[in-house]
Amino acid sequence: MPALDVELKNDLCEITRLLNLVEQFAKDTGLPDDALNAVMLSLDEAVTNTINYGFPGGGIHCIRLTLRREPDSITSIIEDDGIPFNPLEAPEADLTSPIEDRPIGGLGIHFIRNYMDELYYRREDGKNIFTLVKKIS
Amino acid sequence: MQIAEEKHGPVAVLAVEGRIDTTHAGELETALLALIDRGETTIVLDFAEVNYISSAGLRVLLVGAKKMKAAQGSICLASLQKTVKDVLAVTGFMNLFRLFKSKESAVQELTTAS
Repeated sequence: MPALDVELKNDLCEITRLLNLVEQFAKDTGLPDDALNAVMLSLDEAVTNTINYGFPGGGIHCIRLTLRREPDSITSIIEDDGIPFNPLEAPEADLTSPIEDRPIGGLGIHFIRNYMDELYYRREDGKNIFTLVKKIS
Repeated sequence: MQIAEEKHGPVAVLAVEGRIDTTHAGELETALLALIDRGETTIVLDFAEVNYISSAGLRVLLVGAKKMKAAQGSICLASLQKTVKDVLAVTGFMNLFRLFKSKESAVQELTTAS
Protein backbone atom coordinates (compact mmCIF):
# COMPACT_ATOMS: atom_id res chain seq x y z
CA MET A 1 0.00 0.00 0.00
CA PRO A 2 1.67 3.30 -1.08
CA ALA A 3 2.28 5.70 1.78
CA LEU A 4 3.88 9.07 2.43
CA ASP A 5 5.30 10.15 5.76
CA VAL A 6 6.28 13.81 6.22
CA GLU A 7 7.42 15.94 9.14
CA LEU A 8 6.46 19.62 8.94
CA LYS A 9 7.59 22.51 11.10
CA ASN A 10 5.05 24.91 12.60
CA ASP A 11 5.78 27.57 9.98
CA LEU A 12 3.21 28.66 7.35
CA CYS A 13 5.90 28.44 4.65
CA GLU A 14 5.62 24.68 5.06
CA ILE A 15 2.15 24.65 3.48
CA THR A 16 3.53 25.05 -0.05
CA ARG A 17 5.99 22.19 0.57
CA LEU A 18 3.13 20.09 1.96
CA LEU A 19 0.99 20.72 -1.14
CA ASN A 20 3.89 19.90 -3.47
CA LEU A 21 4.46 16.59 -1.67
CA VAL A 22 0.76 15.70 -1.77
CA GLU A 23 0.61 16.55 -5.47
CA GLN A 24 3.60 14.34 -6.22
CA PHE A 25 2.13 11.49 -4.14
CA ALA A 26 -1.15 11.83 -6.06
CA LYS A 27 0.73 11.61 -9.35
CA ASP A 28 2.68 8.55 -8.21
CA THR A 29 -0.47 6.76 -7.06
CA GLY A 30 -2.85 7.83 -9.84
CA LEU A 31 -5.21 9.83 -7.64
CA PRO A 32 -8.04 11.52 -9.59
CA ASP A 33 -7.89 15.34 -9.77
CA ASP A 34 -11.04 16.01 -7.74
CA ALA A 35 -9.82 13.77 -4.90
CA LEU A 36 -6.40 15.46 -5.05
CA ASN A 37 -7.98 18.91 -4.75
CA ALA A 38 -10.10 17.73 -1.82
CA VAL A 39 -7.07 16.33 0.01
CA MET A 40 -4.90 19.39 -0.70
CA LEU A 41 -7.57 21.79 0.52
CA SER A 42 -8.35 19.81 3.66
CA LEU A 43 -4.70 19.37 4.65
CA ASP A 44 -3.92 23.03 3.89
CA GLU A 45 -6.77 24.07 6.20
CA ALA A 46 -6.09 21.59 8.99
CA VAL A 47 -2.32 22.16 9.14
CA THR A 48 -2.68 25.95 8.80
CA ASN A 49 -5.07 25.88 11.72
CA THR A 50 -2.65 23.84 13.83
CA ILE A 51 0.24 26.19 12.99
CA ASN A 52 -1.80 29.33 13.72
CA TYR A 53 -3.54 28.25 16.93
CA GLY A 54 -1.95 25.04 18.19
CA PHE A 55 1.15 26.48 19.82
CA PRO A 56 0.32 29.60 21.84
CA GLY A 57 3.57 29.13 23.78
CA GLY A 58 5.61 29.44 20.57
CA GLY A 59 8.75 27.44 19.91
CA ILE A 60 9.54 24.96 17.16
CA HIS A 61 7.17 22.02 16.88
CA CYS A 62 6.84 19.10 14.53
CA ILE A 63 3.58 18.21 12.76
CA ARG A 64 3.58 14.72 11.36
CA LEU A 65 1.53 13.86 8.29
CA THR A 66 0.93 10.38 6.97
CA LEU A 67 -0.90 9.66 3.71
CA ARG A 68 -2.08 6.17 2.81
CA ARG A 69 -3.48 5.34 -0.60
CA GLU A 70 -5.89 2.42 -0.58
CA PRO A 71 -7.72 1.08 -3.66
CA ASP A 72 -10.94 3.00 -2.96
CA SER A 73 -9.80 5.78 -0.63
CA ILE A 74 -6.98 8.04 0.56
CA THR A 75 -6.43 8.50 4.30
CA SER A 76 -4.51 11.41 5.85
CA ILE A 77 -3.41 11.41 9.48
CA ILE A 78 -2.17 14.63 11.12
CA GLU A 79 -0.41 14.38 14.48
CA ASP A 80 0.73 17.36 16.53
CA ASP A 81 1.68 18.10 20.12
CA GLY A 82 -0.28 21.38 20.22
CA ILE A 83 -3.01 22.32 22.65
CA PRO A 84 -6.06 20.02 22.55
CA PHE A 85 -8.28 20.91 19.62
CA ASN A 86 -11.14 18.81 18.29
CA PRO A 87 -11.95 20.02 14.74
CA LEU A 88 -15.17 18.00 14.78
CA GLU A 89 -16.56 20.38 17.43
CA ALA A 90 -15.84 23.58 15.48
CA PRO A 91 -18.97 25.67 14.70
CA GLU A 92 -20.46 25.87 11.20
CA ALA A 93 -19.34 28.75 8.97
CA ASP A 94 -21.69 31.55 7.84
CA LEU A 95 -22.19 31.01 4.10
CA THR A 96 -25.16 33.22 3.35
CA SER A 97 -24.66 36.76 4.71
CA PRO A 98 -23.99 39.62 2.25
CA ILE A 99 -20.44 40.94 1.82
CA GLU A 100 -20.64 43.60 4.51
CA ASP A 101 -21.81 41.14 7.19
CA ARG A 102 -19.91 38.04 6.12
CA PRO A 103 -17.42 37.06 8.84
CA ILE A 104 -13.80 36.62 7.76
CA GLY A 105 -12.71 33.16 8.75
CA GLY A 106 -14.29 29.90 9.83
CA LEU A 107 -14.26 28.52 6.30
CA GLY A 108 -11.42 26.05 6.80
CA ILE A 109 -13.37 23.50 8.80
CA HIS A 110 -16.25 23.91 6.38
CA PHE A 111 -13.97 22.83 3.53
CA ILE A 112 -12.84 19.81 5.49
CA ARG A 113 -16.39 18.72 6.33
CA ASN A 114 -17.52 19.30 2.77
CA TYR A 115 -14.66 17.65 0.93
CA MET A 116 -13.92 14.66 3.18
CA ASP A 117 -16.08 11.57 3.68
CA GLU A 118 -14.99 10.48 7.17
CA LEU A 119 -13.30 12.41 10.00
CA TYR A 120 -11.90 11.04 13.27
CA TYR A 121 -10.29 12.90 16.16
CA ARG A 122 -8.58 11.58 19.25
CA ARG A 123 -6.25 12.98 21.90
CA GLU A 124 -3.55 10.50 22.82
CA ASP A 125 -0.30 10.87 24.81
CA GLY A 126 -0.51 14.66 24.68
CA LYS A 127 -1.10 14.68 20.92
CA ASN A 128 -3.96 15.63 18.63
CA ILE A 129 -4.54 12.90 16.06
CA PHE A 130 -6.86 13.95 13.24
CA THR A 131 -7.71 11.40 10.57
CA LEU A 132 -9.36 12.39 7.28
CA VAL A 133 -10.66 9.87 4.75
CA LYS A 134 -11.57 10.67 1.16
CA LYS A 135 -13.37 7.94 -0.81
CA ILE A 136 -12.47 7.57 -4.45
CA SER A 137 -15.39 6.75 -6.68
CA MET B 1 2.67 32.37 -7.33
CA GLN B 2 3.00 35.19 -9.85
CA ILE B 3 0.86 38.30 -10.15
CA ALA B 4 0.87 40.61 -13.16
CA GLU B 5 -1.00 43.89 -13.36
CA GLU B 6 -2.75 45.35 -16.40
CA LYS B 7 -4.82 48.44 -16.97
CA HIS B 8 -7.50 48.64 -19.69
CA GLY B 9 -9.17 52.04 -19.56
CA PRO B 10 -11.08 52.16 -16.26
CA VAL B 11 -10.51 48.46 -15.59
CA ALA B 12 -7.56 47.20 -13.54
CA VAL B 13 -6.65 43.54 -13.99
CA LEU B 14 -4.57 41.29 -11.75
CA ALA B 15 -3.57 38.14 -13.61
CA VAL B 16 -2.66 35.50 -11.05
CA GLU B 17 -0.68 32.36 -11.81
CA GLY B 18 -0.21 29.39 -9.48
CA ARG B 19 -1.75 28.16 -6.25
CA ILE B 20 -3.40 30.61 -3.88
CA ASP B 21 -2.52 28.67 -0.74
CA THR B 22 -1.93 29.75 2.84
CA THR B 23 1.73 30.51 2.14
CA HIS B 24 1.01 32.79 -0.83
CA ALA B 25 -2.38 34.37 -0.11
CA GLY B 26 -0.63 37.35 1.51
CA GLU B 27 1.00 38.30 -1.82
CA LEU B 28 -2.41 38.54 -3.47
CA GLU B 29 -3.73 40.57 -0.54
CA THR B 30 -0.87 43.07 -0.86
CA ALA B 31 -1.42 43.46 -4.62
CA LEU B 32 -5.20 43.74 -4.35
CA LEU B 33 -5.22 46.23 -1.48
CA ALA B 34 -2.61 48.35 -3.28
CA LEU B 35 -4.99 48.71 -6.23
CA ILE B 36 -7.91 49.60 -3.97
CA ASP B 37 -5.83 52.11 -2.00
CA ARG B 38 -4.78 53.70 -5.28
CA GLY B 39 -8.44 54.37 -6.04
CA GLU B 40 -9.23 51.67 -8.60
CA THR B 41 -12.96 50.90 -8.47
CA THR B 42 -13.25 48.21 -11.13
CA ILE B 43 -10.89 45.31 -10.57
CA VAL B 44 -10.84 42.02 -12.46
CA LEU B 45 -8.98 39.06 -11.00
CA ASP B 46 -7.95 36.84 -13.90
CA PHE B 47 -7.75 33.28 -12.50
CA ALA B 48 -7.13 31.48 -15.82
CA GLU B 49 -3.85 30.11 -14.43
CA VAL B 50 -5.09 29.40 -10.90
CA ASN B 51 -6.02 25.79 -10.13
CA TYR B 52 -6.15 26.00 -6.36
CA ILE B 53 -7.53 28.39 -3.76
CA SER B 54 -7.72 27.72 -0.02
CA SER B 55 -9.72 29.56 2.62
CA ALA B 56 -6.71 31.88 3.05
CA GLY B 57 -7.31 32.94 -0.56
CA LEU B 58 -11.05 33.33 -0.01
CA ARG B 59 -10.27 35.48 3.01
CA VAL B 60 -8.31 37.83 0.73
CA LEU B 61 -11.23 37.99 -1.73
CA LEU B 62 -13.61 38.80 1.12
CA VAL B 63 -11.33 41.47 2.63
CA GLY B 64 -11.01 43.04 -0.83
CA ALA B 65 -14.75 42.83 -1.51
CA LYS B 66 -15.59 44.51 1.81
CA LYS B 67 -13.16 47.36 1.08
CA MET B 68 -14.49 47.75 -2.44
CA LYS B 69 -18.08 47.75 -1.28
CA ALA B 70 -17.21 50.64 1.05
CA ALA B 71 -15.55 52.44 -1.91
CA GLN B 72 -18.60 51.69 -4.10
CA GLY B 73 -16.47 49.70 -6.51
CA SER B 74 -16.49 46.06 -7.47
CA ILE B 75 -14.19 43.07 -7.82
CA CYS B 76 -14.95 40.64 -10.63
CA LEU B 77 -13.51 37.18 -11.21
CA ALA B 78 -12.63 35.88 -14.67
CA SER B 79 -11.75 32.47 -16.18
CA LEU B 80 -12.40 30.27 -13.17
CA GLN B 81 -11.15 26.69 -13.43
CA LYS B 82 -13.42 23.90 -12.22
CA THR B 83 -11.61 23.26 -8.93
CA VAL B 84 -11.72 26.95 -8.02
CA LYS B 85 -15.36 27.22 -9.07
CA ASP B 86 -16.20 24.27 -6.80
CA VAL B 87 -14.54 25.97 -3.83
CA LEU B 88 -16.45 29.20 -4.46
CA ALA B 89 -19.69 27.23 -4.81
CA VAL B 90 -19.39 25.28 -1.54
CA THR B 91 -18.64 28.45 0.41
CA GLY B 92 -21.42 30.57 -1.07
CA PHE B 93 -18.83 32.91 -2.65
CA MET B 94 -20.31 32.65 -6.15
CA ASN B 95 -23.02 35.12 -5.15
CA LEU B 96 -20.56 37.68 -3.80
CA PHE B 97 -18.69 38.32 -7.06
CA ARG B 98 -19.58 39.01 -10.65
CA LEU B 99 -18.12 36.25 -12.80
CA PHE B 100 -16.86 36.42 -16.38
CA LYS B 101 -15.89 33.67 -18.80
CA SER B 102 -12.65 35.42 -19.72
CA LYS B 103 -10.59 38.47 -18.94
CA GLU B 104 -11.35 39.82 -22.41
CA SER B 105 -15.13 39.61 -21.97
CA ALA B 106 -14.84 41.20 -18.52
CA VAL B 107 -12.76 44.11 -19.82
CA GLN B 108 -15.05 44.63 -22.80
CA GLU B 109 -18.24 44.64 -20.77
CA LEU B 110 -16.89 46.71 -17.89
CA THR B 111 -15.34 49.28 -20.23
CA THR B 112 -18.60 49.72 -22.12
CA ALA B 113 -20.58 50.00 -18.88
CA SER B 114 -18.56 52.85 -17.43
